[in-house]
Amino acid sequence: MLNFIFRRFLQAIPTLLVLTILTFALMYMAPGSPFLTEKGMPDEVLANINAKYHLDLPVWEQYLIYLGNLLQGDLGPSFRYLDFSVNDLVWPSLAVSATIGGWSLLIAVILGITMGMVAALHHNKWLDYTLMTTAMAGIVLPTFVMAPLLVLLLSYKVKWLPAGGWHNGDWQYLVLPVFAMATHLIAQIARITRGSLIEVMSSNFIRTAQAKGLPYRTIILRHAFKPMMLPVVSYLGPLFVGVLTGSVIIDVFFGTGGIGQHFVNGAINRDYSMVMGVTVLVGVMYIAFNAVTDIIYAYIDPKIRY
Amino acid sequence: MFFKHKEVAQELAQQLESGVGAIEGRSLWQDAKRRFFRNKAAVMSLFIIGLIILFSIFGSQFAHYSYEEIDWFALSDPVALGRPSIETGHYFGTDKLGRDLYARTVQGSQISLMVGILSSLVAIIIGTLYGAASGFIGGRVDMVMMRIVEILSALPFMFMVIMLMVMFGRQIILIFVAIGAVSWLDMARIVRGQTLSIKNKEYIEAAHACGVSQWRIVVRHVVPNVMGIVLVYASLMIPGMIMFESFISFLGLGVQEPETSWGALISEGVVTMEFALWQLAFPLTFLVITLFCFNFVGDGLRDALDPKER
Amino acid sequence: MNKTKLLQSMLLASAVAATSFAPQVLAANVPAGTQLADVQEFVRDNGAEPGSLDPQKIEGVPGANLARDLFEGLMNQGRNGEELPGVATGYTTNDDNTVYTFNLRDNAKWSNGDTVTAHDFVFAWQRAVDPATGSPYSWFIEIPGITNASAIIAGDKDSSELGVRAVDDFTFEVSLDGPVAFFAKMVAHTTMFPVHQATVEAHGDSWTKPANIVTNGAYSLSEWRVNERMVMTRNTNYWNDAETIINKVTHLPIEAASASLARYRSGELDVGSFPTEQIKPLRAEMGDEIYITPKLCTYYYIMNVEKAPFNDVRVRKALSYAIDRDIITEHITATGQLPAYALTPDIIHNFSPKAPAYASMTQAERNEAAAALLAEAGYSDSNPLEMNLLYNTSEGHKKIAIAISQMWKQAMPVSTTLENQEWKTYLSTRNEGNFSIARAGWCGDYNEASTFLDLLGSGDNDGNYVNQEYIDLMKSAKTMADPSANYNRAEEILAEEMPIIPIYQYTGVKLIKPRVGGFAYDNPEGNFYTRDVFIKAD
Repeated sequence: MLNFIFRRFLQAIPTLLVLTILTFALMYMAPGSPFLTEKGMPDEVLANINAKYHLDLPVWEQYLIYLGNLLQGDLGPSFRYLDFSVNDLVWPSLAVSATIGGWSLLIAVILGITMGMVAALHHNKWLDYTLMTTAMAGIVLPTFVMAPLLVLLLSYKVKWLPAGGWHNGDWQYLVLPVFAMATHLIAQIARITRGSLIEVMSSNFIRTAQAKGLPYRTIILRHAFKPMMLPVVSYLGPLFVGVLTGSVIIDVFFGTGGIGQHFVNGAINRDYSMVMGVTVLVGVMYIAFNAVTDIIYAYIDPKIRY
Repeated sequence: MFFKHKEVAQELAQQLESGVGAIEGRSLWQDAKRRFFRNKAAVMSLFIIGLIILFSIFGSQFAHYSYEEIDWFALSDPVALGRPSIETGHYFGTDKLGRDLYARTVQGSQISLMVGILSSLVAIIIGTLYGAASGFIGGRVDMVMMRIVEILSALPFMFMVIMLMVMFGRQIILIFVAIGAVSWLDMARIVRGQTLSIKNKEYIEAAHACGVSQWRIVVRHVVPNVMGIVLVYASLMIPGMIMFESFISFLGLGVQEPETSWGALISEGVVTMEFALWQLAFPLTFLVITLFCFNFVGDGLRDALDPKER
Repeated sequence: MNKTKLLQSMLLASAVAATSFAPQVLAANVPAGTQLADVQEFVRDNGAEPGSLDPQKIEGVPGANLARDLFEGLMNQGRNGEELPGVATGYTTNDDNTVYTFNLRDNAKWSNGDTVTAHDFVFAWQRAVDPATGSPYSWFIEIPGITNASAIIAGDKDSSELGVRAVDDFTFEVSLDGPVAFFAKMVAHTTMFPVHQATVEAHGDSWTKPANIVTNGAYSLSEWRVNERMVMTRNTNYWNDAETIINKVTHLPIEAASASLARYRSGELDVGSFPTEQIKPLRAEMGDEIYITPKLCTYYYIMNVEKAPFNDVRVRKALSYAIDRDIITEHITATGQLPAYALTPDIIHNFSPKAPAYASMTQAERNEAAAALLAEAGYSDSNPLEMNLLYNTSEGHKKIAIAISQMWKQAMPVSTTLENQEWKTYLSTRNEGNFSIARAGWCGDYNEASTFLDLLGSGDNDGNYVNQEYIDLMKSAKTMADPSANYNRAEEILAEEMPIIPIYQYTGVKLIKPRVGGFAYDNPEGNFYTRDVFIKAD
């Protein structure tokens, strides 16, 4: 186990290095630059700004400077929010998104797995159809329809909940974003769980267990649950990263100040250091969650070797 | 039980190898077909999808307006004059620019169905093969392949899209490339997870012992056994793709005006939903129905192809 | 925990309100007989997160709105764009209007209690042009030709050689290269606001954080959560604090108009905005809360006059004539915009642009003329004019581009391909001249026609339009007492040669709750000060 983690850690270093080089190259190849504005500015003024942020140096030199700073934990100054460093911006907004995402995921995992299991055990019966149809509603209504709809109903028509803001995470401000996000996730998790459990229930070892006359509950919880979770865990890994790093639509519509906005605005504004910052962050998270997923695989199915 | 399973698996593998088609005379495939057609929800859904495809191809024959032409009269007050009506010929009403929503929905259906189906197909094929190979071969190869997936997942998507646009200009095919390029990654991860578990099963070991080549084992034995979960995931992917397209369009790639898509129509319709509900309702209805149908078809396929069933 | 905090802040707020207003000394701008609410807190949508709060680095409206609450320049701007005393009580000029001497009030204080002196202005202005600051607006100091500004920006001279001087603590002197009539108006701009030297030097780029910032405006910064909220509280050291009424102002950076409307309706905002599509139903719902005011901005299409087909003036004119601007303003932008036939908007101060001849034609006549011009240029149904229309990704630009391309198509043999690009790609395409026709817009930096007409006045513009007569006209206008004649001739040239197609003049739309008073929503440059605002009792 420790050996495994150590190996993964060593592998992470070249992975991140390649990731940063590719991202850097991609960013600098894209048209436009951080201080290109519609109003434009005299060449001397632009030159002064570029000099201040080292944007006048060759790209490889900029990369080395970036890498040097990164190793010291400095993600550099933001080129869009001039008064802030990327560190100033990323961590508070990640906390917001992780709170919304964490609650959504918790709700979605519990409800989704329960619904999926119930549906699978009533495969092609009315309960299956009812549950899956309900769950599907969460998928077919895109977030950018769901969010305004929720606000229209719950904030404007009945005035139960605020229409936006964060207010340090007071629960009233959490409900709508979490709801808008979770509905989407519940449906996905429920469907994967359902499909997986149906498959598991018809496999030989479950049939053997049934033949042995084991109680139903034991069969499900002891024998079926673990193999059922295998694809669910595979699915949750990347989902986790996506959910923790937030959703632009939620951030923009509810004005929560989450990190999702930084992904999109960073790219649109060519805020190079912000883009690098969030990319490295996501890269680290992917690597970590993949490692965790692999560990869980081994726990679920001890025969799995790497 | 065990034999049947393996045979179906081989059937499927051959299907995959020889491309699709050449189904005739294979009794087990027909078996699956029979099972599929016994599933009423799935058959009904397939029928509806067929209708929607027909609508997207021939629907414009019945339109009174082209999808790009502005009805200047309706534009003067879209809320009152742009209502759905048989008399004006705007069956679905107009959008907020006075363009015929019926014609635009037809046009949007083409794009969205293509995006949904084609890019899912691309993602399924690449993702399944990549994931199965990675998990099956294991060791160093698996390590490198999965690290590549990690890098690709973390790359800023926006810049990939921007660069694609800079390199290739505005071409509809780019939507598929861009969407396919990111969405196979998750599929690959899921398939790899399943493969890791499958590869310890007896029948794989048996195949090994018989000297079957690695590639053949992957295609003939591993891939068919992950098909179930792949189909379920694919039915989740199609709605994701269709919505994703509208996000790419928002970035300036994707469909360009005057062409449109369901996603684009819906995101425009949301703004006006309080007083011109039809602008949201028509495209959203098409989307919702299609997604439900794909879902049931996916489940039906899964059941039909699962040899352990029944 | 949260409850106690809330309670505390409520008590505090009412305590402040009580001490300030118990003797009923109302501020000058509160109409007699107005009953003020007990809680004077104001929440407004600021449209977007500012790039900076540092006056010398601010560019764009969101930052400027905030800076006017936090800082105060030499002069302020009144509701109608008039000059009002700020830190300076007034100014004098020498005989040829090249030296301005501002007399500073001696009771202006920073939020930490320090006195605001002429040295603060010297420091700030030198800082604006100092290359090390990296100010994107340093060129603003160059516009009036403050002595040596250009040389300092170019790195040829030290910033200490800028033509500004503290004669004594309360006398600030500015030397200009030539007389510039509108200079006094420019000092109300954020770039020329003072900053607190010790604070800037101590904290570097992060001096504007709530914990560090020292302000001389009516408010000081108490909370700043990027993309969520910015809270300002009353600066009791402000010289005119007695006339300030709002105790706490919250600025929300809401980028989506639909989100702004949602939060306005649910009562979370005093000032908000809305998607323009909703104007008609909203008029019925809350017509008296919608405020539409002209803005000092022009929306236009720019053509690359060096590249065919736009090197042909007939093509340019034909495209301009065939746009039915009335349809655009009435049905597409639909919130009170005015059709534009000239580059300078009608509301500009001290100049009324003479409408060009084609403005008074009917659309049918214009379409006829357009078709004739295009035919003359050699285009016909068998040889239609084909081109790409470039715009940056946005719902509003998209709608206009669609409508205009349809207008062209119906009036003459033109086939337009719409091309939208994401913001920076669009800017870079425009900058490099890789377009044939593109959307553009311009908002005045100050209320004087040259802020518009100078756009084409140097020959350095995205469309590569160069006209020597125009350049000379703009150059000589700089030092004229009344440059109207030059400006009119410049507009005439634009109508004759049509290097750009003016489309409409912007308006600002706002939703304002009836309980809000004193809010200068109608200032042509969109300049307002929260210290003028008050909340009426229900």
